[in-house]
Amino acid sequence: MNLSIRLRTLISVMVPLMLLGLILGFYFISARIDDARAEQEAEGQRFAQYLGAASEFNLLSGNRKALQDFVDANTRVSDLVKSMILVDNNGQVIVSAGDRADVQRTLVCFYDKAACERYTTRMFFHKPVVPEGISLSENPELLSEEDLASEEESYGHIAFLYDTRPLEQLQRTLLIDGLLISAAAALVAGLIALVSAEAFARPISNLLSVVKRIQHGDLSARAQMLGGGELRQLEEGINTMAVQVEQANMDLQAKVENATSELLQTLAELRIKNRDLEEARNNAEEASRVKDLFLARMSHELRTPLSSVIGYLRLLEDTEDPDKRREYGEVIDQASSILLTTIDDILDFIRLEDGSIRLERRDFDLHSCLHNLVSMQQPQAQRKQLKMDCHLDDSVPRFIRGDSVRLSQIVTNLLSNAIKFTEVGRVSLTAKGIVASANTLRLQLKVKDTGIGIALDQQKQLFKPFVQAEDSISRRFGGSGLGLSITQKLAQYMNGEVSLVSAPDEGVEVTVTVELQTADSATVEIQNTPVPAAGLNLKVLVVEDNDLNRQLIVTQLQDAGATVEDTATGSEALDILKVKHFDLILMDVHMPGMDGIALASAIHYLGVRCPVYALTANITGSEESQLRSVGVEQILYKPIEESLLCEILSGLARSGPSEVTAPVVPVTTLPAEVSDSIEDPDSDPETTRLVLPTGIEPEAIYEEFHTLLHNVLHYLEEKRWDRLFEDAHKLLGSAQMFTRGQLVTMVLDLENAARDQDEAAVTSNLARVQHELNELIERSGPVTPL
Amino acid sequence: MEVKGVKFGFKALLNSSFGLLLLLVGMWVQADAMVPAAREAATASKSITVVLSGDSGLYQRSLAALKRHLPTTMEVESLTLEQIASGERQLSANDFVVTVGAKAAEQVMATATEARQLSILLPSSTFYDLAKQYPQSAQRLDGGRLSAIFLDQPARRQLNLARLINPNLKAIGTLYDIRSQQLVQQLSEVAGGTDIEFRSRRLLPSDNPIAVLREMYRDIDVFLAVPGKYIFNRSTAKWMLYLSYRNRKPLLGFSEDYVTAGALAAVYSNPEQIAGEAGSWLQECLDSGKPLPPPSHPSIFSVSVNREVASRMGLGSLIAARLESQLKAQEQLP
Repeated sequence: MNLSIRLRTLISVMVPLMLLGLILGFYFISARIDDARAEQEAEGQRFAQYLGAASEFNLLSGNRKALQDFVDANTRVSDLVKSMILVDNNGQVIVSAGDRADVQRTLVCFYDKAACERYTTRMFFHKPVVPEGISLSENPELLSEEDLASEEESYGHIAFLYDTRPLEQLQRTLLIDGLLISAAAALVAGLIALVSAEAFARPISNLLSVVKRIQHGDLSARAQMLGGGELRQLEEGINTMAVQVEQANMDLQAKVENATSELLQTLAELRIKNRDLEEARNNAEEASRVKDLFLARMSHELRTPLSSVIGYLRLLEDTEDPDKRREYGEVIDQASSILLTTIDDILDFIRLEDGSIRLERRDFDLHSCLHNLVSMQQPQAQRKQLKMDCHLDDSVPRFIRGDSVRLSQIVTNLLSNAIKFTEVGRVSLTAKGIVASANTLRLQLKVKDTGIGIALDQQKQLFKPFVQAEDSISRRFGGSGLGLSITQKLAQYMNGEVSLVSAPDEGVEVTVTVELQTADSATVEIQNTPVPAAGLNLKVLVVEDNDLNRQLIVTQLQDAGATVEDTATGSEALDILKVKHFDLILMDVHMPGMDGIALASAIHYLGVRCPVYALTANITGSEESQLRSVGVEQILYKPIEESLLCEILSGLARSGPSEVTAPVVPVTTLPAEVSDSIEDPDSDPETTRLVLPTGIEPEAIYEEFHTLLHNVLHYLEEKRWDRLFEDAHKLLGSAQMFTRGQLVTMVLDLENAARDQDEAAVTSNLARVQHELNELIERSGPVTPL
Repeated sequence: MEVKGVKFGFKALLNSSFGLLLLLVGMWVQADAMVPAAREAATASKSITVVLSGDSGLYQRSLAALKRHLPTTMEVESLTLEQIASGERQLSANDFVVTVGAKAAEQVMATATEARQLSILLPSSTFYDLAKQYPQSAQRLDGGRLSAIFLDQPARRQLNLARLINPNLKAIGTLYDIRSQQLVQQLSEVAGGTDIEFRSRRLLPSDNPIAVLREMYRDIDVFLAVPGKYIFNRSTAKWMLYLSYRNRKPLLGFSEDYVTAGALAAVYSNPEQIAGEAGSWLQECLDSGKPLPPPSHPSIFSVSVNREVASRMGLGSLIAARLESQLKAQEQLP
């Protein structure tokens, strides 16, 4: 049977209690009924005893009247006594009392007790009247046993009937009372059983409920402390288990949540990475697209002036008219300038992008700088009959500390753009100074024109590299589209910003804000002395394995006033450094034996306190990092502009060797004499041409090229890629130093192929380089071809 | 005893006188020492046999009292009725038998023994009935070999007590049956010699004792109860006492228990008194060799008075000891 524990407890408690109550009730009812009857019988016996004793004398004396009075009185005295008779020993009725019928019934009972059974409402009592004697003497000689036996004889009998109806009434009352008491006892027993069952079952039901809740996952369920003894221990045990289960679940949940969180974080990171990757891919695609566009544009931008140069050079060759030749020369010069500017922009942008530009902190005359910049743009403005003006607010200090070159680059870009896109009207420069702190000034420059203006939706594109407002502009006005990007990057380098306000046909107002340091005016006066004297008395050690390159650099340094000592290998340089002190060390990166990185490391190890500048034609990012890590302060790219050398030397002369802040390497500007040394100005701009520094013969350069190419070929045959790369790199350095044109690109390809150990690429590029060099030699005259 | 030589002369006389004196003293001492020895020797050859009617305390008390009153040298042999009846113990003519109670007396009489028999602790009427029943008893009575000390008191003593209680006694009555007929006869005879009217009524089994008593109480001053089969059983005695109180007429009982039950007074002899008197008789007979005295009522007795009843009847001045001494004085008893 699947009974609940409550019902089981109820039954187990109630049934015995009720049975016990019923049995006891039945027993006591029965006992009380029997007792009532027995009591009445005893009372009757006692009454008979009393009657016998009371009637003894009159029976003995035979006083019938007294006996009649006696029975009448005793019949009346009690309602229970319905009749009474006295009978003598012969069975004759002496006297009687009571109702006739009852007397008759008494007689019937007296003579035949069995017949008395039919009188259900009467109870018959009978007693012989035996006298109770006294003790006269204990001497048996006086009273014999016969005498004593005779005393037992009775004088007569007394009999009477009791009315049993009161007894039955009493019995009924007892029965009803007993049943009521039994029922009450059963009710109490039931209540007790109910309470007991509830007291026992409630804690268990509570426990069961808690267990079910826990089974259904509600681990916070706890049992109420309802029970006692073992039940309480059970409740406490279940609660302890629930706490442990909950704790374990919480731990598990925490672990799951942690894992989930980590997973979500990982997914988020993955999404971010995917997004970044997607963005990177998009950027790459965009960059690729832009690059393609840029290349196409650059190709156009480069080809345009080059075509002009080439074309006018041919015209120049074909005419002898001095005026025309001068005119053509001017055009060629202008085209070359455009071409150079374009290339400078590209290189500037690349350096800004990779963060390799370091701003110079030098005091300069800001007023003069800005006025000069305006003056420099004045010719272009005058050609377009544009008015230019320059207004410097009083808040603009004259002397300031910062990078005048980069500031000039920003202003030049803005002014040239304004002039470029303005046909009528004016271009103005406004400067305003805002003191940011005690040593800091925020310089606000505004260049405003009355040009064609820019639509609002195109303004955002302007700061993207290689982008112009529209392609038509590019076609119409030319330019690389890098000007504003470079301007913005430079401004950001100076903790500044660029904003633009414009509308179509309403001109453009560009505002640039840069952060500069206030300067000491007295010092600036001195510092603004002419550059050529800057490098005097400075000792410079040049380490370059390529003789021609070394010779060129030495010449440039000596021209700048420096005292130069040179060597071809790193080991020799170390020997020299052990005995001599220098203010600057210029070293090539790629050298046989000890290269530039090893040399810089050794110098650093020797504890030589001298700035080390690296020279290179091309280096990888890792090589640059290595150079930085071994103490190389600046990396200069070949060919080195003479003005840059002058700036470096003047910086060293002013600040001392240890405090030199090297200017950003403007490797794009050709030395003045280089421009002047173009041997064949009418040739194609891409055609390789020789650049001859002062004191270097072309044959030496050709010999150098020849030797290096021979080595490359040799190492190619022997598959000695390291040596092949070294000589290819040297070849690239020489090409960059002494040639212009496509040869440099070809040698660069050769070097890259050598780095990649791509035999086929090396072979093809080697052939191209040889061909180009031969072409160069042929164009140069009576030089032994390679 | 022996007397040795005698010398004459003064000195001789003196010596003879001194010697005579010594002789006389010696003889006196010798004689004084020989008397108890002779008495002891006389009794030491005697023994008695006691036969009890039963084992009840009454009989044992009597035996013990008898032994106390006999010399320690006398042998007392106790026999049961069964030993006598079965012949286990044959009584000879030399035996001296004391029977205690009526049954013992009858049993010994029935053996037709020639032994001397003293019966005690039985009513006089019973003794005489037994004596009539066994013919040799008369001869034994005459020869002094059968005698008795009765349990009941003599008629005169009871009448004397009634007079002592009620000095104005005029009539005294009693009811009797066949068992007390002889006693009533004696009472009547004694009363006839006095001015006291004696009324008696024999009660038959058919009589209503209460009715007879009521009638009797109307004419008497004192009711004298005597042992009887029908009327003086314990239940009749109760109503007899009831009527005595109701009529304020004293009832004299025949035992101490009767007094305790409600009788005003009683004169009686208890077993110790009777056994003591029997011991005296035995010692006298055995010492002297004389025959037994004739049967008689006990000379040693006691009187008891119920103080409550006496007080209720206005007789509070009655004192048992005084009555007893007065009775003894009247009979000239010690």
